[in-house]
Amino acid sequence: MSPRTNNLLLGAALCAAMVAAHGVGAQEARLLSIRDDATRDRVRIFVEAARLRGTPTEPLVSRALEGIAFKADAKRIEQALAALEKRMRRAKELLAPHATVDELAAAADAIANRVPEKAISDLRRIAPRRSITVEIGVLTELVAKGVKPSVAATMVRDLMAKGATGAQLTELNAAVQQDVALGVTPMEALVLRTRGVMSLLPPAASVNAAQRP
Amino acid sequence: MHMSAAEIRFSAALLASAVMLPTPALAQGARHEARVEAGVARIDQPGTHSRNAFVLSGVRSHADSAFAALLAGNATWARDSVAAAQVIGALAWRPTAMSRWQLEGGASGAIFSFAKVGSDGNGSGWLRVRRQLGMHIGVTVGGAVGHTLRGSEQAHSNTVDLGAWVTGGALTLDFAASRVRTEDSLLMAASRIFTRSRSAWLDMHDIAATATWTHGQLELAATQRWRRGVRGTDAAQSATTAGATYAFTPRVALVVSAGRQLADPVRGAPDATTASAAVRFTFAELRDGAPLARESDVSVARMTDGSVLIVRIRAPARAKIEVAGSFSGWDPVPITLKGEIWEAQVHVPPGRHRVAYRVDGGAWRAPHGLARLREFDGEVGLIVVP
Repeated sequence: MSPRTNNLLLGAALCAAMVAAHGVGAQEARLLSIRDDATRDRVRIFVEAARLRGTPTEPLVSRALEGIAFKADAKRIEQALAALEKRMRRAKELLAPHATVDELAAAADAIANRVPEKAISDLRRIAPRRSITVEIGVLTELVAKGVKPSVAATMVRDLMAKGATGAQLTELNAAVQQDVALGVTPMEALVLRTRGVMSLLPPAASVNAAQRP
Repeated sequence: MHMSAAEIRFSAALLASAVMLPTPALAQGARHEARVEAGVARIDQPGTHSRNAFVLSGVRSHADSAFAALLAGNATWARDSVAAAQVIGALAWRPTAMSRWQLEGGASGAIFSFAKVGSDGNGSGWLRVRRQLGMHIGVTVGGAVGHTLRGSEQAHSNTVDLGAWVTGGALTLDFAASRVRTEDSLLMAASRIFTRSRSAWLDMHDIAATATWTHGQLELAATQRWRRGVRGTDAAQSATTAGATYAFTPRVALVVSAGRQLADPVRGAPDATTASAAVRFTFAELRDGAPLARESDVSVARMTDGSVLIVRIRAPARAKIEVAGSFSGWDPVPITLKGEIWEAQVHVPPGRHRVAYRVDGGAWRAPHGLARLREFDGEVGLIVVP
């Protein structure tokens, strides 16, 4: 390699290290807001260990801060972090080969809310090259609202397969929420609203063409 | 003006049944608490007959992450109108919220007889520095001074204390070693510690170990104390006390304790064996638990572009409303009162977010209409922004 290439590589490596260090520093700063020394130390140790295990730490830090806001004790926070890390590792397998941190966190929430694991991997299969954070989030919301997990999974999967965008899925979710508030059962509301969105989507052939990388 | 020996012994022993040295605990976020405890005690002391007594105590405290203050009082009455009372003020302070150093101090005043206020009593003060060494371990160093007055007789006492604590899971162990100095030979004699010389001062060494175990609503505590005279007396004593607190609800708890307490010359309390039972009422929890907003009074709306989340809560103007979420690092977001509606508008980035609100420091709840997730003994709402 030429000296110029070497310099470029070195510069890129330094930039990457600075960006990574900035991320770590930002999380450290967030942990500093935990005022109790013992709790902060336990969270820091757990997050550091998770980082070494290759687990994204941002969702762990966020969950720890949630525990602090809820006045949970250190032991309870540690248990929640351990459970979240376990779910994120499972989510990584389901979303392979590539998953963003947001996708992993969304899938971990989905698993915690009894969304079928197969539904998550199905969504990844339909959209292997773009973020499916919103889709997983909508699926989780629907299940948490009382829609049968298998039905919610089928509806979201079918809508995705027909090319529904994240915004359309979010609108569908909001519409279901309004219907439920008016007394419609979550299942009926989902079926009804899904038909409405389906009618606006283009035919399958053009969808496949659009989703092709 | 002198009290009889039995009166001296027993009225001070009444204090022993209720004497306390509370330390205000620092808290995450501001916390106010008021407690009242009422119960009965049976008191036995060498040289007097056993008596039943009624004990009433109250504690008012305020705490945040760097400063805590506490005001407590207790009074004890026996059937024949012998009474004692104590008032305590205590503070705890850290230089910063994250400091490992903590300074604690306080003062207490006691009267041994309601009929002789001003002539029979005790005043004391203490100061202690606490240093956290690690996640589960720390040390303390401190001291206390006391002055006891009985008619025209006065006596001074002081202690120097070294301590350590260690926690593991639900168990906390505290150890303390103290050097106790007193010239209160009358109190010591009532506690079966007799002088072997004409020395005005007695020196004793105390070792104490306390174990506290908490499981759910139950807290158990036991203390073993050993005392050995090193100057002016060769007395050797030991005593054990044990207690339990069971919280039936966050507001109501049963507190029982039994055992022997060695004489505390700094606070003028003699050796006594007591058994007590009391009911504790915590008023702050009552306020925290009472929802001011009904579920249907809370709503969440998303602007059409999805980037702004609006949380509206119908609650009285006097209410303290907090909205927080993963988008704010779980720090409360600004909220304003518009008519009868509290409203928070939050810019949120695309993705999934968790959001919750609470009223007057009560439990965190998910806004109405959102998917609810149970977490940390509360709930959060799940919201997805495209």
